[in-house]
Order: sequence, then structure tokens, then C-alpha cells
Amino acid sequence: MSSIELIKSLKLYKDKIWSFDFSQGILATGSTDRKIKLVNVTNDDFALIDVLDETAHKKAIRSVAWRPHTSLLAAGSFDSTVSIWAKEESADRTFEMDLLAIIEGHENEVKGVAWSNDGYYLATCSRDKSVWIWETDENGEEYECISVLQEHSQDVKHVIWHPSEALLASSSYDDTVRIWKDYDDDWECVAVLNGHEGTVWSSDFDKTEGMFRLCSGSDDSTVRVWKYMGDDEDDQQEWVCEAILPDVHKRQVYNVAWGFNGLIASVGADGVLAIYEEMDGEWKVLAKRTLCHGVYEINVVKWLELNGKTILATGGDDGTVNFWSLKRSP
Amino acid sequence: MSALLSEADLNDFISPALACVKPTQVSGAKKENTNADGEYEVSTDPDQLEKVSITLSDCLACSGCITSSEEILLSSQSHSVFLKNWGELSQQQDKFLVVSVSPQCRLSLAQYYGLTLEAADLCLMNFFQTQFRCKYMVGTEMGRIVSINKTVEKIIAHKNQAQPQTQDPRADRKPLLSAVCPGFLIYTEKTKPQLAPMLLNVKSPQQITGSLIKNTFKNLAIPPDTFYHLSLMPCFDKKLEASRPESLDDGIDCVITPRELVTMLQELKLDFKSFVTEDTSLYARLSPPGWDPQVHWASNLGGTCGGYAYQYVAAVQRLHPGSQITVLEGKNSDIVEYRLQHSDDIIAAASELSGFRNIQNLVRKLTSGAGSERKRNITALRKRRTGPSANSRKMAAATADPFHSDYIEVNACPGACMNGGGLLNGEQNSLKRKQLVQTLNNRHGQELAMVDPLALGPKLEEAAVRPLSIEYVFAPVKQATEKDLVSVGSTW
Repeated sequence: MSSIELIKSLKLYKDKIWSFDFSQGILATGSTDRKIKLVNVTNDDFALIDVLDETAHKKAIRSVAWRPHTSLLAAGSFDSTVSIWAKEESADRTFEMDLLAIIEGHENEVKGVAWSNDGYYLATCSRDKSVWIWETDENGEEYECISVLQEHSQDVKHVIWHPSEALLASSSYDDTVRIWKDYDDDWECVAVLNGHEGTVWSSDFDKTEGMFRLCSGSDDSTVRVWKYMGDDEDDQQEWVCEAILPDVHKRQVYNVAWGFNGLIASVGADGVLAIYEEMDGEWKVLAKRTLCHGVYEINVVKWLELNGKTILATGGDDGTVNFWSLKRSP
Repeated sequence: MSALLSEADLNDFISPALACVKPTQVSGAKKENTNADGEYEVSTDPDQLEKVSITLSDCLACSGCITSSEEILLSSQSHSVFLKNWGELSQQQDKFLVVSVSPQCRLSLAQYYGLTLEAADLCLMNFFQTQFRCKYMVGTEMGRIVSINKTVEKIIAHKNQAQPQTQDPRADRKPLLSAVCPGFLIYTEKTKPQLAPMLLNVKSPQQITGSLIKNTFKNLAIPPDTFYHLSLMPCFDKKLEASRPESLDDGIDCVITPRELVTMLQELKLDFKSFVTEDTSLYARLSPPGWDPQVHWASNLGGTCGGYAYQYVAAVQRLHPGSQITVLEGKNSDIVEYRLQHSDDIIAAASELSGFRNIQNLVRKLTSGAGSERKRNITALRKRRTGPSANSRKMAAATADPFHSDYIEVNACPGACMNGGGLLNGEQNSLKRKQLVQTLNNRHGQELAMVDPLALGPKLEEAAVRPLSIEYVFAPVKQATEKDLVSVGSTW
């Protein structure tokens, strides 16, 4: 079996790390202590380059997301608002980010934020059971709500956009994933993915071009793969559960990540990081590592390209971001 | 997540029911449990607790949830309540029934049963007349005419009052907001009190129709308890509207929707279409004394929810010969602006805006500044603003700009009243509902006679011997408080 090896461990907080994201070599992290930290991961020293003003939010930062290919960051908080941060030009070439806007609208805790691939849409989701889609301008200064999607019957935990199409997936405490698409001038729910037997904590799209697949991780400790089959006469999309990945996790699966390399990674409450590979249409566990954050739970996992290599990063309740490499067995 | 949960952030979904404070308010008359020593005896028998009933007015007074639960609505305003109450009342021969019906309901019934509007109207009249001894049946246009004229009067007065200070009529002035949609009114009162000062205080056609009916009979020395007024309306929030304290005097006894009408027909094992008749004299015969069927059954130009925005602009146009009204489409189909221009000058502007997403933008645009201390760094960044966004601003001038209007006719439902929750739009997906709304809007233009409310209004007011109740009493603006959060089980 292949192995997962620790490259670097970065202790950033006393509190838990809920979320992180990478863009242009910068890692942004969100934690219970309301501080967003920025780390330059392109150099070996992984220097902390900025800590964003924690007074922007009254409660924990639950989710952070970089606008693709830019230095604009969105952060969703339990205080029900979303903050937008922009890189400030500075004479001494230090990296500094300033608060650009606070987006209000959700009734309570924001659980997820996600930018569309072209950066013009921002999706946010909340414990208020709704998903909001915001349209923004080139500079990311103005935000106009273009849709409020209220079909979920419970807390919405996570939102993610398709890598190339204007298609959004939302995961919820109501045990479903919903797929949303724009029609006319509004967004409509085009599919409900039923199957998980507990809260769906997150989902991620297959990055293969022209592929419409999604993986999802749940309280029921499984990771499922769903496939788009086509549209019916009512313009609803048919998605089927193509696979339940091999049973690795013993507890909740909090986050899943589908890499550009075609591999799926999952993390969860059992502290396990698992990597799955599809071989001839069948999913196998490629590698697994336990106690990735000691006894702590893992909340987030992401694939990233670093200095020409594809690696993994995980963030946990120990306030640490760990970087991992996959060593394939020969 | 981990064993040690941070207290500050320990909260997950709570169902709205928990936010309802009413059941926790135990009545004070429980002191008899105190024994001779003055000790309070704790009862372990839950049956001894008084069962708490929640009324519509409790819901209106509470800030817990935005609208009350269906159960509560139905317990006080439903077709069963109508059947029971009118059933009892109609035993007395001197009592009579008055029914008022909104144009959206008439069109929805016509569409649902595949009838022309006139055929549906006649079925409806025939049904109420034969089944319930209905003596009078009216459309709501009379009420709407009064509502429109009062609205126009107030916008013009407000504009004249505000005008002198500014040279640019569109600079930094906030629009007035219609309070006619009960969904938007309740939402504003309960969750967005900062918008309340912008609400225009004029009642809806439903309530004014009630008031006009009451007036008509008062003038004929017929006391209000002689008749029962049933109102047929496109949405469930209309029931809440009729239950507001200041509405109670308008004499509307029950509000039901077309959906409930269909249910009622099923329960009575009656076929709506079996009431078909060619007797068009029903329009006149069921009109109350002094009510012109050509007027109260009609509608008017403008949006199909009332046309307030258009009628205001049309009223100002009459004061400015040579000016022109331009209809501007908005960012989406739920925004329209009517702009009155004389050459390049904008003289007046009013917009229609509907649906939750647009209301959210309205809230954000009209209350901006409230959180300004949290955006302290923005000024520095604005300086960097470059060409493209300045250009896009210029381009935006060609589309509707509702937030710089004098007045916004706001409706809570996307697609406005023709998409009301009480209409017969079934379980269709939202795409099909949109098409249905379009069909109903088209039929509204084709099948309803149009009257000019601005010309008819003054006459109506002259005719009204007694002053009409036309203003809402808005809920007092409450200080926003942090909601008490109750955590239920789950992790986060």
C-alpha cells in the first residue's frame, strides 16, 4: 500500500482550524479565535505574513475562500456575516490585506463560502437553511444578491461550484446534496442527491473536463460518488450514486477533496486521512493514515500544487495545518 | 467536534418553533397551588398545566418567527371557519353575506378551470349566491382606487417636502416603500425595523374595500354586525393583514384563498363549473347600493399587484405636460422602473420590486451606513477604483434603478401577487410557475376592463360620507436584540 508522509506541520492556533484555502502560494486559515492568518507556503520557512483584524467578526471564522487567481478573500463567520478582504498595495512590498466589505443577509451562522470559477459569483450558506448567490464586480467591491435558495430543510453546511460550469452543489444537515443551476434570471434546484444517512458535511466536483461527478462526505461515515446522467423533461437533472467508497472512516467524514490527479481525499472526526483511487471503474483505498492531528479531529483537506508537486494539506482541531505527500508503492 | 466545545460557537439549527415565546408564558392564575405555609407545591402532573393556545394576534405581536404557522392561520381564518361561522349566522334571516374578491384570484380560478374571466366570475357569484345566500359580491378596484390615490398624494407630499434642500432630485434621498404587501410589511416590522420609517402608511385594497363596504351600509343605517364579509385573496399573509389590530374595524370577517375555495368545493362535493351561467346581470345585481360594477370589477394600468408605481408616475405626468414615461427593465424580471422625463430631466420615478432576493438587495442598499464603522478601510481602497467600474455605472443608467426612485412598490413573492401562495399554481416547479404568472399577467391585460383610478379617486372620496380607515398602525420599532439561542444536540 502507498503511504502518506508528513512534509510540514504548522501550528497556527490554540483553537481549532475550521477552514483554509490556497491561492497564489498563500494559505489563508480561519479559526474559532476569529483571526484569519496568511502564510506564504512557497518558501521553506512557511512564514506567517499577515493576521487579519479579528474585530471584523464577532464569532468564529467558519469558512474561507480565495477568489480564483486573485488576492481577494471571502470569509464566512458564525456571526452571520461574510467579510471580503483585498490585498493592499504597499510600498515596502509586505503582504497586507484590508477589509473591503461586510456582506450581511444571512439570519444566522454562515457555514460555507465559495467563489465560482470565473470569480463573479459568490455562494454562501448558513444555518438559516438557505444558500445565497451574490454577483460581484471586477474589483469585488459591490455585492448584489441574485438568488436566495431555500429548498434545504435544515442547516446548510457547505457549498462548492463546478470547476467549469455554472453549477453549484450544497450539502446539508437534511442529509442531502442539492444541485443548483441558473435558469432565465434565477437559480433553480435541479437535483436532490438522496442516499446519505446523516448530515452531509461537504462535497467536491470531479475536476476532469467534461465530467459531471461529485463526491460527498457524511455523518454516516461514508464517502459517496454521484454521477450526472442527463436531464428529464422537466429540466431536472438525474444524478445517481455511482459508488460508496471503501469503508475507512469510523466516524463523521467532515471534508472531501477531489484532486486534479483524479484522487479523492477524505478526513473526519476519527483523525484519519484517506486517499482513494479509481481503477477500472472501481474505487480502492490507495493510502490511509491515522492520528494525522494526534487525537484531534480533522475538519478540512485540500489538494494543492506546491513547487511542481501535488501534495495534500489538512487542518484540525489542534489548530495545526499539516502538509502531506503521497508516496506511491512501486 | 472535539470533546471540548467552545461555548461561544456552540449552536446549530434550532427549529423556528422554539423561538415562539408564547408557550413559555404560563398564566399568573396558578397561585392556588400554594399551601398553608406559603410553600409552592410543584405539580408533577403535566395535565394540570393550562393548554396554551396561540392566536393570530399573538403571532403579530411576537418577533419570534416571520409569519405564523399554517396551523394557527387556519384555526382562525379558513374556509372551515367561514362555513361554521356563516353557517350559524345565516340561520338568522336578517343577516347577509358580502364577498370581495381580488383580480388575481379571479384570473387564477379562470385559468384553473379553463374558463374566460367572465365565466369564472359568474360561476363564483352563482356559487356564493345559491350556496350561501350571498347578497353582495364585489371586486376590489374601489378599495384599490382609494389606496392608489392616498399613496400618490403621500408620495407627492413627501417629495415636495424633501425637494428644497437638494438641487439633484435623485441625490441621496431614500424612496418610500409600499406597505400594501402584508408579507413585506410583517417582514419589515419584525426583522428590518430600520426600514420602517420608509414605509408608506396606506392600507391595501383588501382592507379599504372592507371599510368602504362598512361605510356603504352604515350610510343605509345597516349596522356592521348584520353582514358577514368574506374576502378572497391570493396569499396567506392576507389573513394576517386582516388580523392586525387596526384592521379589525374594517369589518372583514374571514380571508380565504382560491386554494381553500377549491378544497371547500371538494368538501361540499360541488363542481365549480356546474355554476356556469350566462346571466351577466349578476355583476350589477350583486353590487351594493351605489357601487358601479363597471368600476369595482375593473382593474387599472400598471403592475398586476395594484399598479401603484405606475399610477404615481402617471399622476405626476399630468402636472407636467410634454413629459414622457419610460418603462425600464431591471436586473431581473422582478424589477421594473417607471421613469418620468422631460427631455433629459427626471421628474419622477417609481419602481416595482418583488421576491426575497430583490428585497435583500433593497435592505442592503437602503440601510447601508448602519455598519459603516466596520468598513473603515474602504475609503482608501475606493481611490484605486479604475475605469471599468465607472463605466459600468454609466451603463446602469439605462436599466431600472429602483433604489433612487421616489417610491418602490414592494411585493414579497417573486413574480408578485400573480404568484401568490394561495393561488392555484399547484406543485409546479418554479420554471412552470413563472410561465403561469406570465399567462395570468397577459390575461389581466386582455380580460379586465381598465379604469383610471386618478380620475375616479376624488369622486369616490366625495361620495364617502364618513372618513375611511386607510392607515396602518405600524408596530413600534424594537431594539434589535441578540436572539436567545437554544442548542439542540448536534455538534455544530
